[in-house]
Order: sequence, then structure tokens, then C-alpha cells
Amino acid sequence: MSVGLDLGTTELRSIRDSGGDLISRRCRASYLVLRDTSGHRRLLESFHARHGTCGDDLVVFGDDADECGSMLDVPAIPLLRDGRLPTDDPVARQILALMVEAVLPVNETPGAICCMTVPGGYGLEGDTQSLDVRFLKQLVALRGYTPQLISSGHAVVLAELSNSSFSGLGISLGATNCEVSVNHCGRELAVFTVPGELIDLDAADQRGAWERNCLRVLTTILTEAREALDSEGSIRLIQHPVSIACTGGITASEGFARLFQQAWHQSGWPLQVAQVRIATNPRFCIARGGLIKAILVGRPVSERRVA
Amino acid sequence: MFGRTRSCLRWLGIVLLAVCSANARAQVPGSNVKVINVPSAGASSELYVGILGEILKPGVYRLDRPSLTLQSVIRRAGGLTDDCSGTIRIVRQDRLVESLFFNPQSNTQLMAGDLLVVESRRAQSAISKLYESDPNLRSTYARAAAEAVKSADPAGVQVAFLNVLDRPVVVKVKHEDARLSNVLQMLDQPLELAESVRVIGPDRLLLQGNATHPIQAPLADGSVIVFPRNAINRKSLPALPAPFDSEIASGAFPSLIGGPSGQSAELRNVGQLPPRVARETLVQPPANLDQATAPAPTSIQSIVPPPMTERLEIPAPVQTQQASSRPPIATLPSFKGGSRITSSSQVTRTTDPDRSGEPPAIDQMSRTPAESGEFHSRSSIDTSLDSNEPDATTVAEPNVASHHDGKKAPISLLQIVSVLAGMGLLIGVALFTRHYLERRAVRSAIQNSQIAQALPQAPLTNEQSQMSATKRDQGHVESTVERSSATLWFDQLLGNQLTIREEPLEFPSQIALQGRIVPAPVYRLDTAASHPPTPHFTIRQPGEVEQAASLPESEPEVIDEFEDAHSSRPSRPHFLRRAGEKTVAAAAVMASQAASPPVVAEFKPSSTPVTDALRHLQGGQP
Repeated sequence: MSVGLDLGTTELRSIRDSGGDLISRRCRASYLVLRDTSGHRRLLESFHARHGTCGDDLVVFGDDADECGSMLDVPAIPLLRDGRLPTDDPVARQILALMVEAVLPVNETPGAICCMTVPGGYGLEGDTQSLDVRFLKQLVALRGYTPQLISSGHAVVLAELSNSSFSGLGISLGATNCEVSVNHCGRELAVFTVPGELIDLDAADQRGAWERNCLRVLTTILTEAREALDSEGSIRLIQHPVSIACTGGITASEGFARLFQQAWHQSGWPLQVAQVRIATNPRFCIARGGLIKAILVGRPVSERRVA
Repeated sequence: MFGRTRSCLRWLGIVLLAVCSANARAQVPGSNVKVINVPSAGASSELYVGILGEILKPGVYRLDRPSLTLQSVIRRAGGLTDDCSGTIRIVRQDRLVESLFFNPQSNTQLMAGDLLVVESRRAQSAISKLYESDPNLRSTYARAAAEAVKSADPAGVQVAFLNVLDRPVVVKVKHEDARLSNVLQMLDQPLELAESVRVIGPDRLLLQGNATHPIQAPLADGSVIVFPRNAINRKSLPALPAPFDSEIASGAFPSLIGGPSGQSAELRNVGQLPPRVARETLVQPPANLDQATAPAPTSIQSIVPPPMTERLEIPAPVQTQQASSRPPIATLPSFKGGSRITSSSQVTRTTDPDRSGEPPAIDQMSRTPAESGEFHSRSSIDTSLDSNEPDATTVAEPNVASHHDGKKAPISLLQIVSVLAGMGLLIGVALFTRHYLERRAVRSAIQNSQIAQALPQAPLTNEQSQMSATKRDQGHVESTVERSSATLWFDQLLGNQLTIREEPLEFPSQIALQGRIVPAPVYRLDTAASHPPTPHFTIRQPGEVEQAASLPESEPEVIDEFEDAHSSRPSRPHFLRRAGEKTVAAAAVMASQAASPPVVAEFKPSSTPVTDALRHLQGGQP
């Protein structure tokens, strides 16, 4: 059984095959701390909220944490602050392990592959063997899978650019990191990670302010990616015209395609664009790309080439 | 018998499949993704491209990335000469990857480290004539190379080195030194290296590829000597020519083609290797790599090899140091005299009266033809000589040509046929294995038909129908259906056409977390500091909206007021009430009202004296 796992900063998602449709699981990466009182216990039990105890506190995690936090005016604590697992928070690690176990079903097929993305990206030097990545891979391995790390940009290309032979740019606009991945025929040639800037859609009161903010962030990301890839000589590896696929939370907003077009022209990429494909289901786009990758890796060689 | 054969074939197929899958796993994009980690902006490496042959200014050029094109390199090198054939061969990553006809209009992209060889019209025609006259490749090679050398510039032969430095090296050597053995000696490298050196000739008919170049065969003009990687001792390299980093050559022609002959016009730009003997005499090996990569001194051009008689006069200390720094190849045993080195084909020994005072014993040099102390190096190769003789002070020039000519012949036709037969056998085994595995997969699919039934079956297209009809006779229909349905499902997955069903999460109950919560828990945002506490509910009488604000705010008072006003029940906070409770209560009230029919009260008239009198008058009871 192949599984695609998207460990994002704000949400953990997984997709697997059920013989026809796809089955997904997701969980918010946050938790809430309440004082252990009988009132709170009754409250949580009446809500059927998933919670645990930690000393004299009650810990609510997942989607229930956000709901209870908004109701009780208590802020939920993000599990992965800045896309990183806090090293000094053992409770957060335990909650993350619980969530991964909940999101990832137990595998009983030997050799099943789980293609996963990690929060914060792994394109930077040495991040593939960082403590966070090793911890997350070990969690996946404990569920019976063979973890395989991919970048979120590569997953976007696999999920959205099948009509372009998996060639082009995959851009993942995450909450804390944005990844630009250069792919050719399903092979990742280069990846560039830009520390992202969270665009809070609710914080912008006016539409114009949000557009200016989004355009500025997109232009910055694309310009930095172009300069980095140009200095490395990776741009000439991209075939003209190039297909682009985008995913992320802000891609679901109205007018994103127009903003992306403006940002592309302002960033000065020396490439002709064949198409800009916005992910139709941005929530599960990366997880679906991971599932495609896992299926391709798990297939025999002949079927892989046909695919 | 048949079963044993099937078993053997099965094991052979498994082994081949394992090998093929291991190879393919390294090539498939998914298995081993090589990610180019992009360093910080601004980091750039130097790009070098070498060019030689019929070019105005051959050499190595340092370029920037935008100018890394064939036309730009030729423009910087001054343009092609009149004698060029128009064919340019590109040597990339130690092999000849492309041979193209130069077009000034096109924009051919190059890569860093490329080496361009501009072919000469004269040499090509001379070699072609030789091949027409004598199709025997082996005997023709030396003649063809010699003819190519003759047709080249009389001043020298352009030769390029790969894997000597981190960039290509283009040098010019004299005709008499244009041999692999001499080149190795000039570079101060051991002659054993010649066995692993590949020479890419100026013409594709000449020896190239993996064949070993005869060590004494002449190098044709435009030859590329490919050394094995990391086999060069760079510390002992002489000063090699530095690359050019000028923008456009000063003598560049407006047109890229049509300059004077590069062999006769501009050859001073090409660094010239010092003559072997002169370098052995005057040039000491550089101490480090920086000296080796430093630009060639201009004085090296003025080092003219002295006449033979003068070259014999070499001070003994210099020769001793040279012999100690060079790996022993063939030395003379028990020789205690001074040494004199002549040209590549001749080694002269003289006695050193300061050390021994007596001539060498003739029996120790029984294989030398000359008793006068002067002999040819061809006859000085003696397998019985001890190469590790500690007293050896003279380095003899080994003429390995005869040795290599006898053993290292070019690829014969038999070898080619055997290789092709082996490849054909492997391909046949692979095809048979694939066919066998497909049939086995079909059998397993038939046995496990539930899997095939569970997969959605795709409607076949016309081509697939024809294909399946063709294969139906061969028993492949099941595999076709299974494969097509799996392919269709995968296509739907790629096209995001599959429905995604969300599954609820399951957490274990009674979770007890260990440790201390690092972020200080915020239990509640205290917003009541500036406001008095208010209940979560209010009571509004019908028509008394204005009075609602002035109602008592404590809960007992509110409840008492509510009961006095016999109004509706007070509303509780919504989190203390179960969902659906209100609906159930309302439904229960309505059901109870429906079950009990409305009771009609009996009319009871009022009783007064007047009414009683009237009722009596009307005949009724009071």
C-alpha cells in the first residue's frame, strides 16, 4: 500500500489508495492546554474532543484544539513553530507522534513506500539528515512504511504537470517555506527554498492591501529563485516553454493567477510560459504528488517507464 | 529434463531481473533523486573551453556563462582559417560527443571543459587518400598519422591534454617529440601511464576510443590525449600555458571564417611544451600545483635544444636528481658512472671517473650492442634488469613501441564479433526473461482473479482492442485488461479525477503525556478586567427591550425575576446543553399536547337573586 504524506506546518495530511477512490486523513498541527478541572473535563467530553492529560493540565490536539480555543478564547499552540519541531518541547514531540500515527494507517504490506514531505523543506544543505527529518522518518518507519523524502515542489509537479510529461516548475507556497523545484521528465534537477512569509488572509481588512502583500511576496520569491538558479546555471536546463504548477493556501484565493502573472513578469525570468496550472485541490495536492511518487517507485521498471 | 531446464531458466531470469532492476533503480527518477543544492547567490566557477586545430589563436579560453557558445569561442580565438574543413569536433567529458559542420548563424551551446578540434582540410584529404589505397587499418594507422603530421605545420603539432589540470590544456610540440612517450616524459609522468591513456585522433578513421595508442606512434596534429582521471601527478608537472581571458582576440576577423591559416599565422599563443631534453636540463619540476598552473614563462620559447654533441654534456648532479624523482622504468644495474641522455631513441652512457674510475664491465651490459659505452635504448630494454637497483643513476629511455605493438594490437575483427555476439546473447536472454515473467504474471493474475475484478476495467480504445484481439490468440488478454485498468486508474490519479474521501481520525483513549509544557499555557484571555462580569444570557420581556439593560445581573435574581414573570425558561450556556436536547423537548411537548384532547369547560352561569327570579319565571330551576 503506497501512501503520500504531507507534513505541513499547519496541517498533516495523508492520501492512500483504496482500490478505487482515494482515502485521506488530515489533522491540524496545533494543540491547546486547559486547566484540569471537572468543568473542562465535562466540556471536552460533551464535545467528544480528543484530549489527553499532562500533569495538571488537559491537552487538546488536532482540530478540536482550534475549535475549543476559539470558543474559550484560549489561543491554540502551533505544533511546528516556524516549520521546525521545537527541540525543547517534549510534549510537542509526543503529540506529533500521536498525530502521525493517527494520520498514517498501519501498514501490513512489506515494502510499502511512503513518500513524505517535511515542514520547512529539505532543499538546504544538510537538512536531509537533520534531527527533525530523522525524527519524522522514524515515525513513518514505525508505522511499517519505507519513508522516502521528496520536496513539496517535486510533489506539485507530479500531481499537476502530468500533461507536460512532469517537466516544468513546481512552486509550493507553504505557510513558512516556499519551494521552487525544477523538473525534467519527472526528475528533479534543482530545488530552491525561500523562507516564506505567512500571508494572513483574515488579517487584511481591505482587498487592495491583501493584493499588494501577496504580489510583493510572490515577486520576492520568484526573484530570489531566479537569481539562485541562474547563478548555478540551472535555468538553461529548463526547456522552453515551461509549464508551472502552483499550490498552497493563497492559491485558493480569487485573482491569484493574475497576481502570479504580474509577479512572474516583474521577477524577470528568461523563460516563456506554456501554462500556469493552479492546483484544483490545494489541500491534498502535495499528498497526492507523494502518492504518485510512491506508486511509481513501487512499480516494476517496465510499468514505470510506460507511466 | 524439461523441469530442470525450466528451473535453470527461472533462476537465470531472477538474476537478470535483479541486475536490471538494480541498474534501473539508479536511473529511475523516483528512486534516487539527485537534488542540486543551490548555493548562495554569487558563487560562480570559472569556465574554460579549449580549441585547437585550424583556428587563428588556438588555446584555452576563460569564458563567462553567456559567452559559452561555439560561435563566441571561435570569435575569441580569431576565427577559422582557410584550411579548415568546416568540421568541428567537440570532446566533452573525455569522449567525442559531437562532430558538426560549423554554421556561423547558429548558436551552439557548449559546456564548461569542452574541447573543440577544428579539422584541417589538408590532413583530412591526405588521410582519406591513404585509406583508399590501403584498407588495412593496423598498418595504415602509422602511415596515416605520419601523413597527418607531415601535412601539419612544420613548426609543431598541436596537442590537447585532458584531465591533466582542471581544465583542458592545449600545447604545441615539435615533430620529433610528437609521440606519446615523449609527451609523458615532458609531463614528467611514468610511462606505464601510456597503457591507460586514450588518444582521440584528428580523424575518425584514426585510432580512437578505447584502443591503446602505440607509445611510439606519431601523434597527428589535433590529437587529444585523454589521461585517466586522478592519475596525473600534478606536483611534477612543468609550467603549462595559462588560459586566455581576453574578450575578443586582437587579430580577430570580422568574419568567423576565412582568416589565414592558423598553423602559419598565429601559433605563438599556444603554449609550447619545452623540448624534452632541454626541460630535463634546465627546468626543475614545480614545487606545487600553483607553479604548474602558472603561465608558461616566455623564456621557454628561447630554449632551443642544443646540438646532439652539446646535449650530451649534462652535469651529473642534475641527472642524479632527475633519476631519483622519476619512477624507475628500466635502469642499468651496477652502473657507477655518470650519465648522459640523448634523444628519445638513444641513451648514452659514459663513465664517471670521479666515482668509479673504471669503465663498466662488458658482461654486465652483455645485451648492449656498443662496447664503447653508447648504445640505443631499443636494445637497452632488458627484462632481467632490476628496476629497483639502488645504484641506478641513469634513466634509460624505454622504447615500448615494439613491446606494445606486439601485445596491444588494435581491436581485431574477432573481438568485435565476440563482443557483438555477447551483447546479442544478453539481449536475447533479457527478452526471453521478460517474456517468461509476463507469462508468469498472467498466470498469477488468473489465479488471483479477485484483484483483477476489484480494479476498475477501462473501456478499450480501438488500438487496444486490436492489440488485445491480436494477443488473444496468444493468451494475453487477461494481462491486457489488467494492465489497461491499472493504467486507467493511474491516469485518473494523475488527472485528479478520483474522489478523495476523508476518513475520521482515531486517537487512543486515556492519553497521558509526559514532560513539562514549555510554552506557558494561556488558560483564558482575561477580558473582564475593565468590565463587570456579565451572565451568558439575558432576559428580554416582550415589548421591554429598553428595560433589559437595567435588569438585575446576578443569576439568582434573574431566575427569581423570571419565575415571577412566568415567562419562558432562562437559556443556559450552549456548551452546557447537549445538542438536540431542545429539539427533543419541543417534540415531546407537542406530542403530549397531541395525545391529550383539549378539555372543554362546562358552562356555569352566575347566581344572583335577579337571575334566579328570572329563571324561576321561565320555569327553570333556580
